[in-house]
Amino acid sequence: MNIAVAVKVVPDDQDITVAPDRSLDSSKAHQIASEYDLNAIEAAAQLAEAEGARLVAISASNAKAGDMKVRKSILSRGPEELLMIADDAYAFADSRTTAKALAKLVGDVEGGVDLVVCGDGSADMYAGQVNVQLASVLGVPCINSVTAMRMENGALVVERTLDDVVEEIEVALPAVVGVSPDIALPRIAGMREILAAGKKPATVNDAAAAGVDTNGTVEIDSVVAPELADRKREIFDTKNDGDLDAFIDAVAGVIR
Amino acid sequence: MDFSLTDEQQLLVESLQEYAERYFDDQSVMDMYEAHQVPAEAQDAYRDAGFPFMGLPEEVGGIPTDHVTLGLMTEKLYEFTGAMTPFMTGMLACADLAEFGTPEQAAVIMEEYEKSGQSVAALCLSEPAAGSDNMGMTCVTKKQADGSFILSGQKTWVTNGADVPYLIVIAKDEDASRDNTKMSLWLVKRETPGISTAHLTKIGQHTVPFVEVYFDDVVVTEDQRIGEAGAGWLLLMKNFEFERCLVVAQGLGLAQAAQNDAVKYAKERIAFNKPIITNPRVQDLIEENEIILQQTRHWLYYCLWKLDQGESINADIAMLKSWGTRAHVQLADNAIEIFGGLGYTEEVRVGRIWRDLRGNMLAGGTCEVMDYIAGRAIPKWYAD
Amino acid sequence: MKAFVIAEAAEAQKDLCAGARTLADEVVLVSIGDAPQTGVADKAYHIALPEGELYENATDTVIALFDEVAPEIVLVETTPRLKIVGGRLAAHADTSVINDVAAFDGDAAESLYFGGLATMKRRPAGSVRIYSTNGSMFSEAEASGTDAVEEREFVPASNPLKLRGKREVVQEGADIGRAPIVVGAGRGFAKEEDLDLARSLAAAVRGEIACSRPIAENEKWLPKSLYIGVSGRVISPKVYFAVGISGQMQHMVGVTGADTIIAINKDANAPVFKQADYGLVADLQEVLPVLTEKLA
Repeated sequence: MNIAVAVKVVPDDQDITVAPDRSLDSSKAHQIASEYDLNAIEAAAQLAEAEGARLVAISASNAKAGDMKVRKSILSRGPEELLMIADDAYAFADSRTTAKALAKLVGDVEGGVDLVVCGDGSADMYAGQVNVQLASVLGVPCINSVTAMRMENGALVVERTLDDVVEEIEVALPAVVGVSPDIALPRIAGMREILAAGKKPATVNDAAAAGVDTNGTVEIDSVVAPELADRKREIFDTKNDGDLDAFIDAVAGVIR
Repeated sequence: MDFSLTDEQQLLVESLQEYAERYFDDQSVMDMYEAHQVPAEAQDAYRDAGFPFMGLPEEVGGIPTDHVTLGLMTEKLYEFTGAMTPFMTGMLACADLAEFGTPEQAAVIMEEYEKSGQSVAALCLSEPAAGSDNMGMTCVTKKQADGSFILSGQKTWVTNGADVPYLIVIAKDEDASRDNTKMSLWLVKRETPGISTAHLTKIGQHTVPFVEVYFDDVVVTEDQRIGEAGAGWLLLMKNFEFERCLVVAQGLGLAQAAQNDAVKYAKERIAFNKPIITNPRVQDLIEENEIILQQTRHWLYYCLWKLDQGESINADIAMLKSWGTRAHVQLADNAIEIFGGLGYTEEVRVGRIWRDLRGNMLAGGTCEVMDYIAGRAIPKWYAD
Repeated sequence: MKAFVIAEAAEAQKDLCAGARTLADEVVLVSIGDAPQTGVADKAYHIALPEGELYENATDTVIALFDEVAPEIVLVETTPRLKIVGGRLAAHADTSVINDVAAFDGDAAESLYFGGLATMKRRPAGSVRIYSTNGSMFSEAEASGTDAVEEREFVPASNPLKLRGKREVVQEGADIGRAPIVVGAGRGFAKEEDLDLARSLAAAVRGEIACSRPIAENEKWLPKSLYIGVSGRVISPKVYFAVGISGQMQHMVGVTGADTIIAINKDANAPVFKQADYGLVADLQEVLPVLTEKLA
């Protein structure tokens, strides 16, 4: 059995700065695996370990995502191989375009892929759409919000948790699943795994070399930091006499 | 000369950060200091990530690495947790066992780590009447007619001594007198009949409690001896230099945590209508702290690098430990000053760090003993 | 121009139809499973689900309907189920869903980037435009329409997901999305039992209790449906009380739409005070009982 886990590499939002014109600058940001994708890697790694399956990480991310440290970081968390398209076309790509690139990588996996595991959403867009689009491109079933999964008689059985109901669903393979962060707590990569990661195979190409089409289905007009809503900022302190009463009067005024 | 970290070192640092964020939030650390221990869950997670095996040889299941990486690991763990933890003391005891012990003795390391993440062994060295004056120790083993030995005496300031499955004890062979320089190391199960411990209350570092250990006619056998008979002291001395590096690395991490807190506070705290960080006196304190951090960091990594080149750092690390641990206390003191009255409360952690750092001036040898070691060595560096 | 609306909740069907009305001349509502709302669209289609059939398996039926109606605009409610239906539909139309739209500006739609670090304005490149939204920005808009409902037979999917079983989850906590007053509790509460102070305050001001992410995800003191922020709920109440909440961006983007924000925190330097209309620096244990009594 072969399992692929899709990982988006994004700039660390802690390092993204906002310019005076409210535009964002991520040129100095470190590249990291999108937060919830770490849970997807863990869930996929646990399933692969339980089934004796081979786990391959796939990624279509920005041009800096091919950085050696990012590769090792992903490979230190369970996958045996990494296939990546690193190209700035994928920094803001729509879900269909990203899914087409991932589908290409799925096709590159030796022996084919039985299951693709995705996070429910990436840190930047949080659309939860790449998994569905990928399933459509591959022509396979898709389910999301998965909080547990196991193999049973050649089919995948998932627990799917929504606000008001928990469903047990059987998914015929091959398939794509979107997993909730709840499914598994990411392992802390130890030095043993980190050292081994550098020896695992990784293939990184840009879009042209990978032979994928980057013409998008969505255009981006702008990405700007929001203007902070103008708040009154009347601050009271219980250390000052009369402040508590003044605060209560102000609050009573707005809740009535 | 290359000051940059490798990808692997950077990833190790990131893993330590994830570990610290997961198990050492402010409330958890406060609870640990109250409970006088790091909970099993956090110790097991440390083991699961493979951190305790760093620096141990491959034959015992370790992950060999250089001294620089071990120093980095120590510094960062202490910076990210802002707390004293038992792990580095545990690693040093395992390193002694792996280096000097038989394969059977070294095998207990992995056997114990399979059971839990708790440190495997604690080193019993100091005695009530023999701290820096090691030759004054009176713990002794005497051979019996049946070939076994009787171990008797008392050890003190045994870090983690109450919580570990094994003790590594140094005791004089046959004769407890000062003139006898023959000592041996022994690997003893803490649960052995005749061994008892008594808790000592420290003023800081509560998460790494130390105890007194009493040996009342404890029976040990030849297969428990670590290394050659009579060579115990020479063996232990081999790792003193590295131990002192780690004491400085711990202090450096804690000091950095105090500086992180102090600078953040100085930027946020408004007095006289502006953040106090704009005040030149506050800037002086922050600058003094930064000088201490940079000075001890560069000096520490130079010492670790020299160790990796196979050179002795006996006097280098003695000077650094003497000056650096003192400077770190001053740094934490400055951090308290920046926080003002708040710094003297339990609401913030700089006071706790200050108490912890004071202990590092004593751990691994007092400043005065360090000065004595360096003071004797330095004149020899200059031609007559 | 025709708009297709696909929504699960009755309220969302109404809001999305009202919104679609501002974007298109003709509004067509599709409801899977439950009967559609009436009087909100020009025409409604109902796809009844056979017993034990999974909602998502109706996707092929929806796609057939989409081909027949040929709408230019599709509004989809943002729910996990409809992420699948909408995503499949978008793939069929060779486009992508523009997700979690908070506002429209012509064809362009605003969504959050990095959970609020920035706002993205995106527009579809092709002729079919598909957006997902919770519709809250349309809650004031009037929905209008006929009572015409046409039944559409469920067509079995070619490679269906098989529902083996399900159990209902009692939804803990109220629906904070529509409460006029919400009291959010954060890390300033050291112990679980202290949350009762926040509950009492919420009861006194006739509001609902909510929380920041750590209270639900790490401490698990409150259900996840009650946490506000980037990966949780985004709400626009009349009044939001941020109690013991430091004011991290990840939380505050969830309440930027609040008319008034009131912050209570013991730390005078907490960033929340910069984002509040009224702030009180106080010890929660001491001051919350006083507020509860005086505001009741």
